[in-house]
Amino acid sequence: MRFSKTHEWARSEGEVVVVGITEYAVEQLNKEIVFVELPPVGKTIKQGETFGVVEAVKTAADLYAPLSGTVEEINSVVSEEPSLLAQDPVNSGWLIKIRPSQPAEWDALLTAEQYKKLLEEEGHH
Amino acid sequence: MLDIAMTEKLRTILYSRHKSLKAAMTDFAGWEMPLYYSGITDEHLHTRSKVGLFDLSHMGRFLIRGKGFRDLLDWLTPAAISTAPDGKVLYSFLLNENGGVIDDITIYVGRDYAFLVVNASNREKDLKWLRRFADEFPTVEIEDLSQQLGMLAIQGPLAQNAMEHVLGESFTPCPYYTFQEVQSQELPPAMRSSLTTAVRDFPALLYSATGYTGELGYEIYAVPELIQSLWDKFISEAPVLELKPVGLGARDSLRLEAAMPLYGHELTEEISPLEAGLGRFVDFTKPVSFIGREALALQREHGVQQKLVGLEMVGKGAVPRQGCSVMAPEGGRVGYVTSGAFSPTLRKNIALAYVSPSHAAVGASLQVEIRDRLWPAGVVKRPFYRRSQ
Repeated sequence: MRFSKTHEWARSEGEVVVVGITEYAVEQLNKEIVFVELPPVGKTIKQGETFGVVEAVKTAADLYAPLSGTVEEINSVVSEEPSLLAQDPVNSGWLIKIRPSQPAEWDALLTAEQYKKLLEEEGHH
Repeated sequence: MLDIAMTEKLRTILYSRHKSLKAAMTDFAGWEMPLYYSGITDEHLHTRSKVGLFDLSHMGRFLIRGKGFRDLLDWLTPAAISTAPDGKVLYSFLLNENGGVIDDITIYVGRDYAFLVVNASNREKDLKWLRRFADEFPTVEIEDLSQQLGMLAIQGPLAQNAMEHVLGESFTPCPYYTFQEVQSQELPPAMRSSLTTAVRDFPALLYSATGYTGELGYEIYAVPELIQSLWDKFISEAPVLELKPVGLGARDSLRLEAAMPLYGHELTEEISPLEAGLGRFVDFTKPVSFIGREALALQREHGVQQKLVGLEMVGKGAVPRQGCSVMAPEGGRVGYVTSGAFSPTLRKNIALAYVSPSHAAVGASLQVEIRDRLWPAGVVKRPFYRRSQ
């Protein structure tokens, strides 16, 4: 699994990459997610650009694509019941599956160790 | 993230208690305040069903006294101050000449003083405004007690029980929007002995049946050491009282469900109380004039340009927030959202918005533009939530 500096995770599953947000991101949203806006299947997204929004009671946070590619599938269970995202962000709370167009972008993402270090540097645990 | 500015923020007398309760903190009007302790939704629902405790010590508090203090306030506010009975609390406004709201305030009318509670963000502006006009009332004294007093709110169906438990015989329930003074000799002995300071011409403790949640409850004012000891007692008895501390996150969602205005959102210097649907707090019949009266009388005669409405979003979807455009069903911008949230009690997205009067009727269909997409909404009655008793 790899990570973005903006607290998304990416997990390679064969030809597609599954994308979600990290435990830390969920904590920053007070674990109270009330709405998830995801792109339509087939949409082309670019690394670093917003592909959706997660809303908590008080705040909204943009989702940034960790990789460029085409949206292959979205997690409609989470968009129907957004509270599931807070309960299990790295497994059943996944958000979209991307078919990458620039596979080399994967290598530029943070490893688990680098992401952990990023959180420590930012003063979180 | 930690930064230098963080260390310069103002902290209330209960700051260390919030930290020891592991509250998530937020910046509010320059104050480092608790956003939530257990979670916004949890605290919100707990206040609706049991009782919540709030630190409101960041709010501004002024004491106005001396011969003519009622005359000064009669001129500065649209409330009937001179005829208000002692012990009454009035919700009112400081208005400019155009009828715009400089601040929304509560006024505690005592025999020898008026006690004003104002928004933290407007404290200095209000004080300047009051002192500007006070020059014409040389016998009236205005004192900023914001540092010398702390403030708590106890809100919810079990609020009275919590008050009785903690204040003992020094508490007697009082009617809605009235207040009671408690002198130091009337306090329980343990609390009396904690007192080390006193405010001239002000009781050791003052409480009122007021609040900002849509629940019954009380607000309490006292010197810092007494507020701290009251907080500690409420928290240590919390399991018995079924009480939870509540942060500013739920304070905002509670007031929104109750459709109570928040300064900087529903009220600004460009918005009048009539536009905000608060005309019942403007007394055109009082025997003396007040600042802004002429402008408001014209608005009343010719009608307002925009009206505050409650919006309920249709179905699940994006949450409307301050600044979102409100559109007519056939397109065309007819207004803007001032506050919006997912309502924990109703489990729906709700908002307050200003719209043109032709789209303000209850039942009207509208749309809210959220991130370039239109979401259907309907105008509903305010408040969104009304307590059952």
